[in-house]
Amino acid sequence: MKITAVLLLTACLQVSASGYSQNITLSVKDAPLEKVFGEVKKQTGYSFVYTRELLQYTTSVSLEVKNVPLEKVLENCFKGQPLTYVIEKKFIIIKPRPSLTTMLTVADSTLELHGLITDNNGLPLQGATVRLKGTDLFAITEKNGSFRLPVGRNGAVLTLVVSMIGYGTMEREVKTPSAALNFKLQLVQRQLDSVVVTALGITRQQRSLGYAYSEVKGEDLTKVRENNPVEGLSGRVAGLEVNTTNSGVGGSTKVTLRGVKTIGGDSQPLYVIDGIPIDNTTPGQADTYGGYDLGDGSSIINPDEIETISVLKGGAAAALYGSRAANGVILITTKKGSKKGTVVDYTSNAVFDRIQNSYDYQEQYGAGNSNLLPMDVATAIGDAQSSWGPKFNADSMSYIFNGTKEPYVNAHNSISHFFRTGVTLTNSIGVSTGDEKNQLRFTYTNLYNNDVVPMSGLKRNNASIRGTSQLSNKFSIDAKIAYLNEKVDNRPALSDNPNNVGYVLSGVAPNIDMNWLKKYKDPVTGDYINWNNNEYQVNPYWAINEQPNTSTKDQLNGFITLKYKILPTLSIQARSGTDYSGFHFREFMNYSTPFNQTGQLTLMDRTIRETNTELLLNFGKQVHKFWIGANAGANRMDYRGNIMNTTGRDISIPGVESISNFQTVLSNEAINRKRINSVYGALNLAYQNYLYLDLTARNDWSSTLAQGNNSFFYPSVSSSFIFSELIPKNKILSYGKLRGSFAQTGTDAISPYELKLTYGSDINIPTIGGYAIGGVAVTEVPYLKLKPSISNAYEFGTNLAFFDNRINLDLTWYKTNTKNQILDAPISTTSGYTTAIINSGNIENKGIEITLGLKPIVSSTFNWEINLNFARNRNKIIKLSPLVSSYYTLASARWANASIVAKEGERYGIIVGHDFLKDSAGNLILDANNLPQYDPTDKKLGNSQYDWTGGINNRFSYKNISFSFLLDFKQGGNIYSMTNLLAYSNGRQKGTLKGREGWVSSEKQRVAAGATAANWVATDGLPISGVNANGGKVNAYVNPQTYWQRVAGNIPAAFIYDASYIKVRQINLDYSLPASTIKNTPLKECTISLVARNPFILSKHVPNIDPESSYNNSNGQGFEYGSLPTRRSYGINLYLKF
Amino acid sequence: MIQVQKRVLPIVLLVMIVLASSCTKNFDSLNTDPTKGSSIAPGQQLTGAAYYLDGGRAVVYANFYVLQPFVQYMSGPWGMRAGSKYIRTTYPDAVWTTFYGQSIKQLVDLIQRNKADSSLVNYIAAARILKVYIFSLLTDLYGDIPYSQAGLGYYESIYTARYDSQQSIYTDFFSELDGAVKQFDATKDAIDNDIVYNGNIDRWKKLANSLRLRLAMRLTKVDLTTAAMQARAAIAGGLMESADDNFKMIHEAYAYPDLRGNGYAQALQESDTYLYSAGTTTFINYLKQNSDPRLPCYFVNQDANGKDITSLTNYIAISPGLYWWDNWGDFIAADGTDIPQANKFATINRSFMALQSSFLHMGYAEVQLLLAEAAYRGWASNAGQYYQNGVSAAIDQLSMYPGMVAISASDKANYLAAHPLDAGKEIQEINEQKWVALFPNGYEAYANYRRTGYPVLGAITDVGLESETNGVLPRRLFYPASEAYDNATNYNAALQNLGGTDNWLKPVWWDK
Repeated sequence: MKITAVLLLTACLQVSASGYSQNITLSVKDAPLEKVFGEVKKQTGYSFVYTRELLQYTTSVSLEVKNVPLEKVLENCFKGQPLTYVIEKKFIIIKPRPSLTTMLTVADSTLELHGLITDNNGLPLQGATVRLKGTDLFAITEKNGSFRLPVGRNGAVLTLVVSMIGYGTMEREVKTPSAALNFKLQLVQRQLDSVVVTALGITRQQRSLGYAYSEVKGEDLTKVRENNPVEGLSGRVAGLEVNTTNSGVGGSTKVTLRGVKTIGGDSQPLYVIDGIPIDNTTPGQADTYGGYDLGDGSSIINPDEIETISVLKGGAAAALYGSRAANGVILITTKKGSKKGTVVDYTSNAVFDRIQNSYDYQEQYGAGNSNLLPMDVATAIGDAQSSWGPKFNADSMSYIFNGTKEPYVNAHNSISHFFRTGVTLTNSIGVSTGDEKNQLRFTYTNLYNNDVVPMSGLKRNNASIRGTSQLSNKFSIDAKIAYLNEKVDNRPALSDNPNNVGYVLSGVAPNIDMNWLKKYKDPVTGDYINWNNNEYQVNPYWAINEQPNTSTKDQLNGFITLKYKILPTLSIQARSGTDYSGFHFREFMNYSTPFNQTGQLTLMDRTIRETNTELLLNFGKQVHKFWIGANAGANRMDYRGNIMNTTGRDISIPGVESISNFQTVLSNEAINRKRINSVYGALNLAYQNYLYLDLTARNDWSSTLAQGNNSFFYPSVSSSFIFSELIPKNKILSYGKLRGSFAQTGTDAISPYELKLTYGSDINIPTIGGYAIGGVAVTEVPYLKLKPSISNAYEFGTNLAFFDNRINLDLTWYKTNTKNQILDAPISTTSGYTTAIINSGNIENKGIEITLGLKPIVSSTFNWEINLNFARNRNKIIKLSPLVSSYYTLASARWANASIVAKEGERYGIIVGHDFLKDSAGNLILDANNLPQYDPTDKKLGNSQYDWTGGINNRFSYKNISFSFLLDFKQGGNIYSMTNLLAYSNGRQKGTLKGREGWVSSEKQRVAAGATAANWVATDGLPISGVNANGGKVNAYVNPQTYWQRVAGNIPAAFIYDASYIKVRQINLDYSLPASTIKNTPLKECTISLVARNPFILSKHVPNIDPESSYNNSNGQGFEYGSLPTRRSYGINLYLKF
Repeated sequence: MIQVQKRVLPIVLLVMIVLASSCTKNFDSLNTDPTKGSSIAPGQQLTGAAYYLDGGRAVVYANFYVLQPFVQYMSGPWGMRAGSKYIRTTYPDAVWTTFYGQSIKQLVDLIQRNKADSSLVNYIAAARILKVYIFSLLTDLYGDIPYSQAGLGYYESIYTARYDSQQSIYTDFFSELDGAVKQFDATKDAIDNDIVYNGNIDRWKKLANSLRLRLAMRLTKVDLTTAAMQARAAIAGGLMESADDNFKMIHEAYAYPDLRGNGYAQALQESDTYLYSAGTTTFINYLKQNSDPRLPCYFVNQDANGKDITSLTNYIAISPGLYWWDNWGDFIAADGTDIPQANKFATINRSFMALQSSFLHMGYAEVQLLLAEAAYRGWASNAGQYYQNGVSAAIDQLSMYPGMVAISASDKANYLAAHPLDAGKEIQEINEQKWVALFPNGYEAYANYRRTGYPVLGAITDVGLESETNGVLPRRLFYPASEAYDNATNYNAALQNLGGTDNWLKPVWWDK
């Protein structure tokens, strides 16, 4: 495994040969070292690992040996060279020689140049080469970065060339040779030449990749922590969109790469940790009628363990992962043990969460109806969430739902007082140890969170251990086990759940003091106190105290890899890994809980096990100027998911939260099984170091598809051309690459059992009066001839670097067409079923991605870096199946009168529903009461997909201090805000203020005139204009309450908002203690950071809610309903390394 | 070594491919759901279909919040604005989705799967009758609906069913009912697990004929010839003969709002809706004017403690279209008792809130009243007797509600004596009595109103000017919005018969 580590640091060239002796016979004269290496290789089979740069300052050698041991030959070769070597199995790794004086070919002490070489952060660089131009004189820097170079000459023009692997080269004329000469070397943009991890864990030079590749370092995710590290990717990778539900603790995260490619079903990428796919399905999500976000499998990803996250967006990148990679792959590589002694990392992070108070409701009119105060307590109960009373008046007393009379004034402390300050504490320790042969790493992270919603919080422990060992020359082993234990208390209910506190709070009239609601149960009977006559809007204090829910999760994830080198050019690897999770959820509803008066206990037990076993052959050989690499592999994936849902109804003893305490217990079991067998192969060809071609092919056999259709093959081809290698070195273009790819990927049916009709008894009602209830057990029409869906993806792009990597540009254009999609398509209920399994359609995604890296200021003390990414995805539903309607409903909400649909010829995810009824000139057609009407034909009201997304990360560093902030943009999508709709309907929205006083005066006039509503023309109120049924112009006044209740009840068009936003996603200020300060302590590194997560929303267009609010992670985004406010976090992070 | 390489590589590759591809053999069993079966007993499926008719509150909302306020039985709660002020809501949609998605689905599957098995003809015949009943509720509410292609998602891959004209649906109804009655065969397997008639095929036949009479009578406005012919055939076939033949669903006193408890009772209990479900002036005044002994069975006035204060209020009714809080003010009784607004109106009798109460889909009382009308129209004889039988049976059938105040034999006799069928007012009296007898079945009361114009409904009072029809009673319901998406082509074709857009003021075919 050491080899890999070296590869990571250097752009490696490998010389292969096929002689297999330990002794060497050689005769060369003035031959370059490289030639000798080739000969040695040929005779011994040992490979040399080095960079070309390293050989730059070597001299040619002459050797005449016969049957001499390898070591002896090498000794001769390296004599007098600035190099040394280490033999590691069959590799000879060439390194710069650490000390300097012995290496001078000419030594004269009359003049000595000296100085310090550092990186751009001022940290000393050891092993940098300082060479006097035009001579063979050079020195290599010491551990503290210093060098001394005796040059022996004065008077002539002295030019020093300083270089180091991985860093740039600097040239400087030395004017006053006696002064200290300090050089600051720039780190070469790693992205361009680095070695990266690609599909199947194969490391590749980034330059050879024919597709866009993005990488995020683990350290970028650990300082400003999200409870789910995947959320930290938002704004960092072009074309990667993160959506979270606003559930708060332990919620799931939806990631979309390059747009939604499948109409229904799962659009999320596959997560692979160290080669082993994890199950990222969610145990449960809120739907139209409410529920909880029960999280997903990605919580096993511990940011403290992550070395890198590779984002494989396109088809070619992911083709080798097969069926499940159609939506891309998020490849996580975790850290390994140390090769040199023990290293301890410790991170401590304390963050405080506050709600981002975006409530902007009216505070002038309180509980009441039709401008009247409640007449008695009974009416006060009905009016607690109706802010249609008269204007506040400190002299008035009003009935309150709790039976008292209180001054009719603004309570001033309403909604936001419900929330508390949340705390998140994260402590993590990583211990790495080992030597050249064996390495071990242990990581433990503890997370403790109290959410802003009282009673709600999360506790999580992540532990992992990884060991790697080179057992013999040919045999190595790598094994890891990671464990997660998580407990989440009181996940907030979402959507239309009666105990969704976000929804209930946003309707409370402004004169209702939240403290009054704290008395939520009868002190004697313990029964719920009715406060609003609405069992679908439970008192939030009852919700958090008497309806507790808890979930626990244990997840175990591990693998073992054995590698055997059959030949120097051929190795075989066997890997087996399992992801296992056990999830338990329980939700208790005490006796007298509204909607479940007799109490209820809901239990869910879910265990998921997925095992992947793989055999992989790796071949690699250099033939003249060609490099030939090949892999062939086979994998078996076995999946089993068991879910047991149990419901207890009718509680016996109030307050006792056990299933044994319920009189009716119903259980429902689901067992899902699935297997995919695969074979695959890849061929990687490279010509010199600038032209690359990759070919891959894979065949899958899936158990979820119909016999005869369950075998499917798909290929990919990609190519990369580094054209900058062919043009002369110049100051403008430092690097240039063109790339292109085509890939086909196939997908099976995600769910099993979709081929045949099944029958069963009713899972909720076994019998009634002794009669059994049963029938067809499924709501989807199965499809006996189900075949795989196929995606074709094209991608072209370029990477360009200018002005010594001061400007880096990555451009990508892509197009993906997904055909024969396996859809669980919504069909007319009149068919007897709600959905049908079909192969359907053609959905197209095309777009561009731009990543731009800028370094406007580079100096020895102050640096400024900007990283910008931009992505624009356009999708279009080209065709749906003729068997189903041309509309595909993605989400529909009974309370919304609107749907999110995919429609032929349109973009994915348009919002459709009732619009205002208008004439051809656009005038509102008003009814006999001058109120607006809806158009019974649904219209397109908006689009839930964003036009473009982007992020800007700015980083400023001055000496040991760095400051960075990340901006996240999304532009052009729409959201249907039910929170605002309800606020209009119940008089809480500021927009309802218009016309209220006017209507009151008009009504006074009417009463004075003794007229009835029907024969009175309002003199003031909410002005409205339009035309009547006969087309005549109407300008009139209406009652704002009637108007808004009419619009809220029927016309969603009024509540479609622009969901665009600009957010400051994170800010951090880091201070690293200077090396000099910690020199005499055991500390190797110490960084203190001040961090802020989601501190500001710089721009948004929807009032009262965060435009990112969504209640589940389904594909039907665009509905918002009773959202909790966004949390903003501030805190401190301490990082120590020993 | 090169030899090794050449030999090993193809072998390993071959082994990989063989390993991967050979194991598709057990895919079939792997892809079979171990928790489900590949078939089910037809009786379970028949009961499964029947059970969704009135269990659970969602499917009842259409009747509760829309249809019964339409015919002015009750009004008052916020939700009833849908039916008392004519405001479009999604309440009725559950009828569509549940009837098609549960009941029709199971019945079509039962018939398709077992039609070739001659031993199961009794199940098939019962399923056909139930299917006609359910479709009749749907077509009477909506007009043209998917019928001939409905429920065939699996058997014929029809995912978007065509809408059939109501006229063609009615034609098929009569032929189906006729065919089903003829199909029953006592020598074949009895219907097991039959929640409707416990396997009694004679009762199924009587239901089929009674239903045929109801549907025949539906056509009196549009096609008197067919009406007469079908009514005569129905009568000849044999109708319900007593309350024992009633088509009703039994329920259990099960608090959780699932199918076990009567959905109507569940809707009343929800958020204390019953407290505000007040009898309208149209209904209560009719009962009062006729000194109907059923008034205290239907309604009651209670104070905040549940004490009966009817003697003080004498059943204060709510005007159609009003919310319970409209027309604000306490009621001061003759003895000076102040009855607060919240307790002012006569609300529904608590017997209707019993979760274990049955829901009557079609009963002997209605059949006798249908016969009375048939006799008046000359298709039978002795209208007056049938009328009296019907009223008498209607009074008797109230005993099916648990805890219902019993009506004494003398009160019943007095009422019957005072209410003979009056010459010249036959249609009005028969159908007003049917309206009273059907309470709280809004489906049939609304259909019967549209056909006969009885009872004469009061104009609604729309205090907040909220009515979306300006106070005009709708003649049908809007199709569920989901059809515009999930069945776009057929839905749009169906709208052509309504003038291009969905419109609830347009009458259905038999209401023209």
